[in-house]
Amino acid sequence: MGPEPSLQEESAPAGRSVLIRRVDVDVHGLPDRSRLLFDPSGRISIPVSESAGRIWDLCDGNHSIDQIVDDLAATYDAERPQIDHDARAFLAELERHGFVERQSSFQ
Amino acid sequence: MSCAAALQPATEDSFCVFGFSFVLRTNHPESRDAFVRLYRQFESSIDAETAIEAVFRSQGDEFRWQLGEKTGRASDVRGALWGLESALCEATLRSQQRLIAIHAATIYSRDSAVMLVGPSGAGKSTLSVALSRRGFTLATDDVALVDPNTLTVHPIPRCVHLDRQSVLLLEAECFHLPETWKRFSFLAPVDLDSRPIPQCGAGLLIYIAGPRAQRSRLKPVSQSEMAARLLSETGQGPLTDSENVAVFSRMSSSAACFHLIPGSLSETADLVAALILRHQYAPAGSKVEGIERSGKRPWRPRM
Repeated sequence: MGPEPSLQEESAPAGRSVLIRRVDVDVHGLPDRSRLLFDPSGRISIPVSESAGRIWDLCDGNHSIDQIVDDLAATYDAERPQIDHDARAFLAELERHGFVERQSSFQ
Repeated sequence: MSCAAALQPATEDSFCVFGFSFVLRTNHPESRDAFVRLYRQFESSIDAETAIEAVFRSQGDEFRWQLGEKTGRASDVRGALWGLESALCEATLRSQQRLIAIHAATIYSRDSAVMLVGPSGAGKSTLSVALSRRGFTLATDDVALVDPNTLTVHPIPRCVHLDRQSVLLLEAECFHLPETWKRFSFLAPVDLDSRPIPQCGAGLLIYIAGPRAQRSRLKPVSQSEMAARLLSETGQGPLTDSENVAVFSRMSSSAACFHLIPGSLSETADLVAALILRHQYAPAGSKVEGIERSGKRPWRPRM
């Protein structure tokens, strides 16, 4: 089996590509700052850390993937290449499960 | 001819298990004793005319049972006892209008419930029995109901599911199974500890998942991960999936959550026993991971 697909490996669409979180996904915040994302239609649950929860929040249609990474790098204590790699892997997982939808916005 | 029609019952006992009412009729005194031990806190003076009829009958060389329309037979008492007990548990689960079922063993330490969550074969039963030897009260080795409003845990007592390998592991621990096990391989939780079960929620949630390791390990997991695990160990019930997720999130929020990778039985039971005692005496909230208050936050990708 090959490595997990990452958004880094996908061809860049024309214009600016953004990922938008689906509004019908249930989001439960827990006291330890983790969150549980649950898609009732597919009965899929994805538990996420506080950091990954921040990525979810930024999938609002106003942030490109690069801008999401910029925000994370300014917020979290890790090297940018590491954050870039992890964030793209997580976004690819969200997209694979249909929790976010990709849109191209031409500016 | 149905079991009931052919039976001249020697005994008749009524039970109401979390809303599921049934009358047990049997001509086999030792089987009656087994079910009375199992459901002793659910004995009830229900209306025998409206309750479901459960029949256990010894006839010649075989044993037959019937629960409503469902029937079974076995050439040995054990097979028939386990068959009827399993049917009673399924009927109890199907009858639920409000409570949520979770596939989990439940033990008690003083007034706190500890749920051992995991799929079949994970080792919940064997570990539960080993923990009962360490002073904890085993209430069920298989399934518990949870009140979605109060989060109170209601264990459904079951005959403890031990296979040959489990018995060998317990005997290696110098655990002597009671006489009831030796006769019919039917062990009710009350055979191990007759203390009453307190009404409370789960303060400690432990997810058991292999593969078995050389050394047993307990690692904290996030509350959201535990909520997802609880969701994976529940079936069809009275609530929608989204409502279940909300309940499991609340359950995880009020508990310390761990993943257990089991090792040898003795070492694993000692490790879990130590965790339970540590948790019992820990200040409230001390298990919740904190976020650093100054500077950049720690990066935890995914989980």
